[in-house]
Amino acid sequence: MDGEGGHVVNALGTFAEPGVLILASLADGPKHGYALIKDIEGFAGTRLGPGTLYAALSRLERRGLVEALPAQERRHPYRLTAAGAEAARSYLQHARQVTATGLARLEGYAW
Amino acid sequence: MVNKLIRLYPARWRERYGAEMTRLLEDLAPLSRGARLRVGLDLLRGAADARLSGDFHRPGGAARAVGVASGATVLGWLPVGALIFLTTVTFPSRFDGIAVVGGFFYLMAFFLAIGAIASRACPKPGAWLAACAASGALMAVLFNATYAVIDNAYLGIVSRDPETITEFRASGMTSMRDFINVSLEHQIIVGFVVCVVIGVLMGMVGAVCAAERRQPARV
Repeated sequence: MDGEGGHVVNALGTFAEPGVLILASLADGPKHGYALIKDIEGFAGTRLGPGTLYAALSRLERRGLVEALPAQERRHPYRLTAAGAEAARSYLQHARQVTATGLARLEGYAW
Repeated sequence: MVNKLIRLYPARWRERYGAEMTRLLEDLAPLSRGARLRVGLDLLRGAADARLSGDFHRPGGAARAVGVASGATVLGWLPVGALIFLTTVTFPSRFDGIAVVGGFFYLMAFFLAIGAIASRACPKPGAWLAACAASGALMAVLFNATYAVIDNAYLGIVSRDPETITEFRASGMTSMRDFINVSLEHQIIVGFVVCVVIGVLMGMVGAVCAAERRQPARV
């Protein structure tokens, strides 16, 4: 994927797509692992496994896109950082542009 | 049961995420048999990623770099030994050209990987350079020892090789076994120097490339 949005995904490596889902989920407030899985399943229809979730979360945390809040009953809630919000916005705007172009071209596609 | 798979993650990863991952698995319980399998496979994938990414790797010292490189060299020698056996005993004098070219490229790629592995074990240049040199030396020793064992054990086959017969006649020696062993002794020094030099040079390339890959990506 090229462009600014693609750059964000490439920088996240193997778990880029789960990373974007996590950033989108955290955009409406901090969540811990279980809440993230449920929220993402609700809005994206994708059920992340715990291994995938934490692989993506650890990458996002090391890149400063999310940060852990103090643990509550062995659960660390995570929240979006300013850099994470910017990265998510950049990726989603790029995805919207790709989606709009793809849908417009499909309208003229002869079945 | 699935919780035990967390032990497969690197220690540094477990220190940071182990407790909350355990809590998450408790939150997800009870899991059906199919779900347990999916979660188990997902944890295996996550553990492999955590180990391969190097982000949670705890670097060791020079001894660890040399030890890891030496262990990898013994494993890397296995296909070389098999190739020597095949071209000397199973298909004598038939695939020598292909074997030499293939073996050369294999060793180049192998030492590239050794550089990457050794620099991951210990990022200090002196340590991984020593590990690459040790790997080259060990490969040379294993290489010559393999030829020594095979040539002596299968002397009847080796002594029928036309090129060996020509060289044996030109040597003026009277025993084919002695001729082969003297030839191997002469090859030891050259093989040793070549393997160490290639090991260090290719290892440097592998270590530098691996260090580039380990740099955190800019977002």
